[in-house]
Amino acid sequence: MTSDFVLEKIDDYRWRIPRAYKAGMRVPGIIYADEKLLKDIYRDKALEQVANVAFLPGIVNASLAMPDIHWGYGFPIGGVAATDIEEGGVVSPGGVGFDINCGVRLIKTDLQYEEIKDKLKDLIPALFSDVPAGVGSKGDIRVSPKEEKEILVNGSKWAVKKGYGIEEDLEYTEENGAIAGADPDAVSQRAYERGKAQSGTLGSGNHFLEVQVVDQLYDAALCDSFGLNLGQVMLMIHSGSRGFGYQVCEDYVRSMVHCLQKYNINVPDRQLACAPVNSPEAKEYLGAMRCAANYAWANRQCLMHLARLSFEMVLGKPWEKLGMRLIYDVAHNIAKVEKYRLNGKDKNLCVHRKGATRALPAGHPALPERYKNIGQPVIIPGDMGRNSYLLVGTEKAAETFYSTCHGAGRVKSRTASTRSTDLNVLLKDLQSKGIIVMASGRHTIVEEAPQAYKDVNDVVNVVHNAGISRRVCRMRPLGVIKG
Amino acid sequence: MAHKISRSEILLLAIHQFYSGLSWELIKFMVAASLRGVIRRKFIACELSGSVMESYELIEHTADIGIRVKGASLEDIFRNAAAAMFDIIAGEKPKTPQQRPQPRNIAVGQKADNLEDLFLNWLNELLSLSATKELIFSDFLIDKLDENNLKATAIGAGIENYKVNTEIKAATYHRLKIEKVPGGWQAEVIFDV
Repeated sequence: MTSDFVLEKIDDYRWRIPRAYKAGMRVPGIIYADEKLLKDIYRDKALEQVANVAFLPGIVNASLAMPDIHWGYGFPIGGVAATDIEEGGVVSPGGVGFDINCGVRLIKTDLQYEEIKDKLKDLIPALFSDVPAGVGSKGDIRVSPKEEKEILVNGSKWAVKKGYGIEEDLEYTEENGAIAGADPDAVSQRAYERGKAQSGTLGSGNHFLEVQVVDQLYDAALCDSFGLNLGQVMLMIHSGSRGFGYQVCEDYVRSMVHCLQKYNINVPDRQLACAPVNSPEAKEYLGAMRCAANYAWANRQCLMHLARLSFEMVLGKPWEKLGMRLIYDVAHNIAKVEKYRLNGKDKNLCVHRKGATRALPAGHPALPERYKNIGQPVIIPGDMGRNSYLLVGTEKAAETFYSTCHGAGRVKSRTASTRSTDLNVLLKDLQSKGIIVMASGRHTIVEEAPQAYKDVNDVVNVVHNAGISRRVCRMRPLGVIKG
Repeated sequence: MAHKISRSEILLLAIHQFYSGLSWELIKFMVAASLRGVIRRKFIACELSGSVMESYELIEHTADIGIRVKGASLEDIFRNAAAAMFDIIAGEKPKTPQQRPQPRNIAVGQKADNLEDLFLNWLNELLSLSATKELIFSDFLIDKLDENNLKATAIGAGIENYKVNTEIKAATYHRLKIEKVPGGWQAEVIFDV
């Protein structure tokens, strides 16, 4: 248990685990949280995991944790770690996770809630039937083996070429929906087989598709730049690389466990298995991981396409006329090589974001023209009963390697949630808030009940007040599709 | 789906096992479990080996699911953990004897540097085979098992015969334990769900 953990207070939103906490920590741990959230954080084993990540060779500045941090396996969920590649910095497949490039995209519409409130009872079931969801679900979008390789290299670009979206969608996707350096030869045959039928599927667990409405504006100028108003209807999609990504991660955790001995690496948890970024093993992993990342971007692009078609069908207008434009798509499980200036030197760092979102500031060269002056949109999904947020990145986030939180963060285990949640009471409660929920399994709804999560409002307050991102607006759910 | 078994049900089951001629040790274990107030527990009959396998326990984890399994032998641990994993994943749809699906046997071979790795590889291989072959496994025959090698047969049926409850992405090294305990073996593993 971590209840006796001694954290040093840096300020109201930053807490330090000193290096002295555990012999072997190369840097301290820094947790972004307020006193209220810390109470929950203390309850599970996440802080111990923050300390464990600090063992990674080449880690710079600190092992970071966002306010939605909770106990994961190896890395905590909500963990950020950057390693200096030239100084023997490592990449750890466990620091990305099994669902490689699990991420979220936000689409706006020109619709107002008042216009569609009577149509939601048709729209939500249409989305539920047209977007394949559920454990191991198979997509309607079928691809040949040759095309499969193309997806792994070209990601969302493949989808747009096939007619599942438009060029503009690529501009508003992290890495334009296709990260460079994907190596299909580094992917096992098993991963191909496992991913074959699942492109264009939502997945299960915490993955979802939500129709939402903007219910609070925080920054009038930013909302104007995004073209967002109160009452505006939005669509949010949360999914990842499905079985394909799980297999890639599994293959490489298995092989990198051997690297611990080979490269004389000491980590307290073998799920932190890793290898120096410049080693052949790491290069191979990164090549395969990028394939999975591209697969996930193609997946979310296909899901958005299917959702746009559902809107068209129910509302009787082409999606372009409904103003269904992609605001942004961000990954929250990924490792990327990024340039930073550290102690006066330009460095290539391998930034792991395990349940954390990239949040670039205004003026960053990787941003599309439209966001050059406002910063990267950051999308924070909450639980199905409360809120979700749109934020933007800030210069202050340089201290977190331009990273911020990724969601509400679990506070209750799935078993505890199932034990304490009555499905009928929950559905009635959601109904009284005007939220329609459809899921392929009852199981998912109770496991994902709002009380299993921290309040996303508290989490977002911390990143906003700590200055590592800025609030733009808040949404509340109208309809939720769960796997 | 594994259901919550009440303490009285466990006691009844223990009495039943007593009359079926099972070991006193196992019965004591079951009674103790009933008194401890176990979270969720299921007793799985292993028709193939002709024995009754012991239970599994769920370990609380904020984001994921962990299990603790016990067994008289190492083979039991490998079998019980696999059975527990698929019990979390899916439950059989009710069937008449005529509707019973044709079982499919899949050979599984694994090599590893040590027992922990072998155990983890076994579970992950089964998850992977289940996903690619669209099968849910319910029975496991261990043909050969030592510290570094495993030869087994996983027996399952098409996923359409099951109600799938939970997706398990992988078994992880995090807090992985496989150890000898008085009276047999015990293992703990955390799944990413």
